[in-house]
Amino acid sequence: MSLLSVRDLYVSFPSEAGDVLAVRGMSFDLERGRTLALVGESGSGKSVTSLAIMGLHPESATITGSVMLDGAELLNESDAAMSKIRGNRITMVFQDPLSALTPVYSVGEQIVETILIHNPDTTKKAAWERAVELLAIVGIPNAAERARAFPFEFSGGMRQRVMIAMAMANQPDIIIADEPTTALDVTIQAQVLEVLQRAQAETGAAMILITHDLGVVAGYADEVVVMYAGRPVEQGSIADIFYRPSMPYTIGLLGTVPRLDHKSGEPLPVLDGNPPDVVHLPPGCPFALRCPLANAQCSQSEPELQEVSPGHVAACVRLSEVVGKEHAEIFPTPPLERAVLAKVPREQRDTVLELMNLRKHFPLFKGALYRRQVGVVRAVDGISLDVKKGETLGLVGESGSGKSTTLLEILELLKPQQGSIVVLGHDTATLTKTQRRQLRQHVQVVFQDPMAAVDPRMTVFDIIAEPLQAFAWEKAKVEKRVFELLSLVGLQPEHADRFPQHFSGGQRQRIGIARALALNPSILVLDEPVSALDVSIQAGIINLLEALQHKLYLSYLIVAHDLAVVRHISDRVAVMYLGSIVEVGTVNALYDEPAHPYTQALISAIPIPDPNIERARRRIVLQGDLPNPSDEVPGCKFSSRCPKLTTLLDSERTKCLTQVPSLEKIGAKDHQVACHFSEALRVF
Amino acid sequence: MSADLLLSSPPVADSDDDGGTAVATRIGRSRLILRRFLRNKLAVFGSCGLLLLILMAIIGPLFTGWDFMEIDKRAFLKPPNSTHWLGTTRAGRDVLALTLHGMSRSLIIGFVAATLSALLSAVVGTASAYFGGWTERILLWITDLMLVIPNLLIIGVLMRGGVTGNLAWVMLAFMLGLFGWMTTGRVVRSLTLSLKNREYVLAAKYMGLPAWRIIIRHILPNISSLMVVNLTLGVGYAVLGETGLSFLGLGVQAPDTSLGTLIGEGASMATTYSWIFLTPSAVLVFLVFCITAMGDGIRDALDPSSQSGGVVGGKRKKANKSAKTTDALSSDGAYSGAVAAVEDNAPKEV
Repeated sequence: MSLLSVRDLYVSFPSEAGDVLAVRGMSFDLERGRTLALVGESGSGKSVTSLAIMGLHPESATITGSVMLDGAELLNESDAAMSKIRGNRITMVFQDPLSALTPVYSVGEQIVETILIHNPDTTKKAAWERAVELLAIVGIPNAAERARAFPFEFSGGMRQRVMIAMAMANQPDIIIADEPTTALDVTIQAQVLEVLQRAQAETGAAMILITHDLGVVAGYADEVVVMYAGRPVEQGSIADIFYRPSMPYTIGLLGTVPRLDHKSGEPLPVLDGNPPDVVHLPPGCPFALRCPLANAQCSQSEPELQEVSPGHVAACVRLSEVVGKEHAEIFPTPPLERAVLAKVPREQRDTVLELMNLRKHFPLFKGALYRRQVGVVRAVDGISLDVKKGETLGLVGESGSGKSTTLLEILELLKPQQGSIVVLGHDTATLTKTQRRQLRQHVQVVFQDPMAAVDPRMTVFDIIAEPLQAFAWEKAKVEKRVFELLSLVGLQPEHADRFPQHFSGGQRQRIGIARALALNPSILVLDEPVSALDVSIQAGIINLLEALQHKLYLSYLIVAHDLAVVRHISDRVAVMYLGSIVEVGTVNALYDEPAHPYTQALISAIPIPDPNIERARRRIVLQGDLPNPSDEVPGCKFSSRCPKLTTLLDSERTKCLTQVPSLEKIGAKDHQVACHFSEALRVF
Repeated sequence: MSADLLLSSPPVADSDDDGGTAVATRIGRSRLILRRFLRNKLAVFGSCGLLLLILMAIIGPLFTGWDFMEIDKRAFLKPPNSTHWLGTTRAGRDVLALTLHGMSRSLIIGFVAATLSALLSAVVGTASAYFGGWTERILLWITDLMLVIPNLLIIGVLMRGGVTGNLAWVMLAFMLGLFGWMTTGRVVRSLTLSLKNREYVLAAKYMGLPAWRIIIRHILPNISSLMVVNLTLGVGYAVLGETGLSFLGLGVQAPDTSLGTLIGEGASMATTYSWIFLTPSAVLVFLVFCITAMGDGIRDALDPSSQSGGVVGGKRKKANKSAKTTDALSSDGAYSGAVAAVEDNAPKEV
């Protein structure tokens, strides 16, 4: 008998628009010690499945089917009975570690509470000792002391460790991890995933891993369930799913992910369209609308899961034809227009944006009545960059490294605290107010969150027309331009009269891009342009950006935390750490032979969606978190976390700790590194 | 009320526009709000009652047969009878006519004062938050100063020395408006502070839009739900303020009449000639009750986490128990929106 057995689970919610069919026909078995990954886009029902198992769904939900834990049915249990199971036999690690911990109790007390509530016989002292022990297991330094600290005193990664400690406190049978690393930086993600594995090994629990990141799945799961529109569409072992995918959606999803280990320059295969609305599901296969293989048969009835090979099932009417097909045979790869500018050597192109020794320090104040400065946060600490016409520069680094501050400094077009910003030959320090406004036309921005970046109360037409109206375009010309822009970004003219809430994330991002392009800018600043989008939608936006660049000779400055996306889209990459650039170079040189230990760790932390490669990789895991940016560091800023430092001789180490390294040229042309002991290293 | 709820983000519904299927029913924001409002029986009752009172104030005097100024020399302090349906006062004036006139006067004062204070709070709140720096400091200083001075006392003193006679009510309305905007102003300010860093406001700024246009086009429309609620509730407060002052003789001046002066006149004889006191008091209570019920209803309808959300198709009873959780889902129009919010929290760079 399996530890957890889910059969024909259906979950629906009532809503104003009609019944929401969140999960439709979920079945799986989970054995002790195994990891099952639930993969799917937002709205595919992954989280609802886990909430239904835990009995944490809203009361209005209608649930049918069966969930058996060790042969005992959980679905009809009362909330009180479920409380005995939750936190004891089934535990959960949530996505957002900040809101999952109570801010007014110390983390130790919270773990003690978990222990005592399920083991009333334990003494408080024993429970506290156990809590300290757990915190030590998940890698909290000085556990005995830190157990008395409050959640806000921990960083995101540390909080997630506390969550994991709490989840393993009662030796659970099942740990459900719902997007456990999505809110964390890649370097921290690697640490947390390692801790999660340790927790699983320590307790012998089974794990349900809910994630949209196929790289994480490749590294940690044993079995995979791919969900689409509330329905499991393919189920199988990790090798089945990654090497023998048999449902067009799985094939498309795997092909459309930008890969860290693939060179740039090729267009990304696209999975067109959006997932259907789970309130008004069309009859037939929910994927039919996006499937290049769909025919009349597909839209008649929903296909059942059929066996492909033992233990591997897929739901597709034309399964026999699909099995064994490569991605490229099913999904057409869009053609890539090669830019004229790409042929012109970099040195001969105009510089459109130049930062010289740019600095932005934020003063820290203390005191209520008499405010005095107690320190300074060095958000951007003297960086120099240049972007040529038609070029894409990627700016990467952990959160807090100063990437976004750099972008904001450029967008403000004001005189910087120190250094200079030169846009199209104009130094921003010398601009008058009118000139600055004129220059704004040439520097436009696309934001991360397509939901927040467009005003929900304006129609698409008004949104795109706004910059034109701000620069007093004639009414007739505005209208013409808006429709021109809509077709440029791949939207329909009839979309002009709708409101943003009628669009999906990808389409909203297109609206944001259209607005940014309205004034014919030369430079587009992209702040995480695809990170809020689902994987299948990302590729379309990335391709659009590349096509636009080639068509309009745009220069991009792109900030992203997803290094695979950056590799795909950029020509050059700059790596930032604590406000400084530690390495800069052409994209292939930097990814293939990173020379700074930080770049190496960063690239090594990105999971690759290929189980064999991913599991064979030797990962450089950085210790600890980003140091406090207000601390004064005499030498190299990275020395506190540098994996290389421990391998150095004492005399060499002193150099790292006392001298600030400057950017030096190495190897290939314009590859620069700020490290005293840089050494190129292949990390995958 | 948390700030985010007041920012009235519209219902998120995932569209399948390019999927090619026609969506059967998509509920527009205004219809959704109306539906949620109509579900609140008390609020519907309140708005009907208010409408009725306003109608009575406008066309009522045509049917009473008496002007509120008119004096019936044959009927002093008469209880309700067939000529004077609600009796007469000591001066021989018809209580019904007086009440109707007083109600319309009170309502006008309420609306003028509430509108004025809403305008002031919007201007001060958005300007102080958006511009920051010295503008903010000075405006906040004024706001705080106004908050700590005893409003009614000051208004009273100013009213004594100000306009007298028939136009006193105009001054009273302005006074009430002038002294009633501070709390809302501070709320508007804090909402603007959070809106100011929304990406679409930043985008507008980097597009080159001047500040006042950003405020009018992007900030004010997005706090409009708060303003509507405050405007409605503000009418109630202003009416109460007006009656209070008029009761003390510091508001509307005779021979003009408001509910406050009427109650003041009747109060001394409340036990002996109760009709003079009871009628305006009942009207006042009913009026303020209607306005408050309506304001609460509007707030609940606009607030996605309130209890007014319901369920389509006969499952209402079950859903009511957990209206809060249901509503987080249902108010989003489509479930996918809610799930997107749960699952789509991609890391955000700072």
